[in-house]
Amino acid sequence: MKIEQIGDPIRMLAEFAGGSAEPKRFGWNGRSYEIDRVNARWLDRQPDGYCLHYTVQVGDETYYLHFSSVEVQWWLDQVAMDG
Amino acid sequence: MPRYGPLILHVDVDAFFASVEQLLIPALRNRPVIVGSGCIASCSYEARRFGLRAGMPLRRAMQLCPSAVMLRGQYQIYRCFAEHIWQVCRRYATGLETYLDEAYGDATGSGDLYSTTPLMLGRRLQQDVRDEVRLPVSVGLGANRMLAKIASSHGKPGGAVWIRPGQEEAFLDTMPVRSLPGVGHKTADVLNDMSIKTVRDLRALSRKSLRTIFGRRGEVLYERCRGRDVQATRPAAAPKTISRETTFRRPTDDPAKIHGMLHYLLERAMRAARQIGLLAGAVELTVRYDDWKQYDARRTLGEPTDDDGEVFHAAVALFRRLHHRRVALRHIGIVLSNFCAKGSRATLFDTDARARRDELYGTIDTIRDRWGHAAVVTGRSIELLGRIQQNDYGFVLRTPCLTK
Repeated sequence: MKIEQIGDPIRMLAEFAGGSAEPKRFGWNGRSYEIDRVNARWLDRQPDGYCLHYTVQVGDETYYLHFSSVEVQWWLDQVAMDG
Repeated sequence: MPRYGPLILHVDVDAFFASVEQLLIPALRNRPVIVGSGCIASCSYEARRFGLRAGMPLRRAMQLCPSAVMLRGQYQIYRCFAEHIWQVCRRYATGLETYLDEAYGDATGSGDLYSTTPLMLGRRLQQDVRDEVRLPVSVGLGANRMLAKIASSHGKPGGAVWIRPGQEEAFLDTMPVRSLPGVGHKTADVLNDMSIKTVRDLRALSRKSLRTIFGRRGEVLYERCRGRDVQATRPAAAPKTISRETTFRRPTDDPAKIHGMLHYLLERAMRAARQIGLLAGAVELTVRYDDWKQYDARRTLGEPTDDDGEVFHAAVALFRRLHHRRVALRHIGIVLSNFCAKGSRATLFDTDARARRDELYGTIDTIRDRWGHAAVVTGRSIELLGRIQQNDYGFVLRTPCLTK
């Protein structure tokens, strides 16, 4: 399993409803990535806000994303690839 | 009076770190997964089929299971998942006492509240965790902590077990004596030499005999082999010790790096003590050399304090005493103890200086609470800058779970 650290801000198309967010598609490095499914989600409470974290599947690759309520910004944290 | 009497709940997340990794990355599911650095911190049940266990050196693990996927671990993520699980548990139990991957709670009366039996209550909790957090947990229920813990171990993985009132002795009868808390290798060896292998065998010994063999611990064993344990859950009890330790990524003899790490571990421990209003009365230092020889020493402080500088001074004196070999250090750890509550002791001298110092630490702690520990680097911890990577939570150590 190869895990690549990224840490880049990204553009995201997401559906916000009922206190939750469902990421659908994101843009990174001039490319658009259609999310096949959300694998897992978790909440990281911080003193001044929260971060909504996700791992999502795009083909064979797993992307770690998060939304920061303080920065009102989506981030791409890392990518996991098999092999 | 609750229908099922006193009821303690124990919840244990099955193969916690490895289960989280399998949840995050679907490609890891049904595959042997190891999480750890140096040795196994957690491994999936697929890996356990190859004989892998927590604590096993990674080199040995890879010999036994070359196909295993090895991951270093993402402890901040695991903490978030644990907190979500404990939130679910709080629906079923009060006074939850939580650890990294397990929790105890008082579920007395919850069966009546939910109009169900304790066993169904445990299954309902498991289902809620599976639905909401998507992680497997084992649940144990019994009249006390010990029984609840034994029940959850018995049900692993993914089981729910309730030891019914009056059935305690029958449940424990065939279990090996090692399954009782407080019975380690040495005690088990002594008992095995006397042909005492099961809990039932142990019960045949009188209180007096056990006391003669094991002293005061014998009294505890006498109660435990009968399914009795007087220890209640301890929600938010003041800690007896606060420890921080880590293993260096590479064994080192660089004094700057060692002193930097010592200061960093100490300031993290002191911050934790200040957060709960405690003054440290003693400090203990442990060092482990590259050849695994370990030494420790302890010093009682002149008076209890929450000043990093005062405790660091004592820790450095201990370090000078212990660091007497020309061998690189592999591991270093500090333990604070002999706590007393802040404000419980009057100070006659230097009250102005103390007030200024309290204000300084208060400000630093507030900044760190707001922006993360790494926002302010103080004292000898500066030696670590540029040597060890940082994130918001501080320096990224090899064993972050141990630095909390």
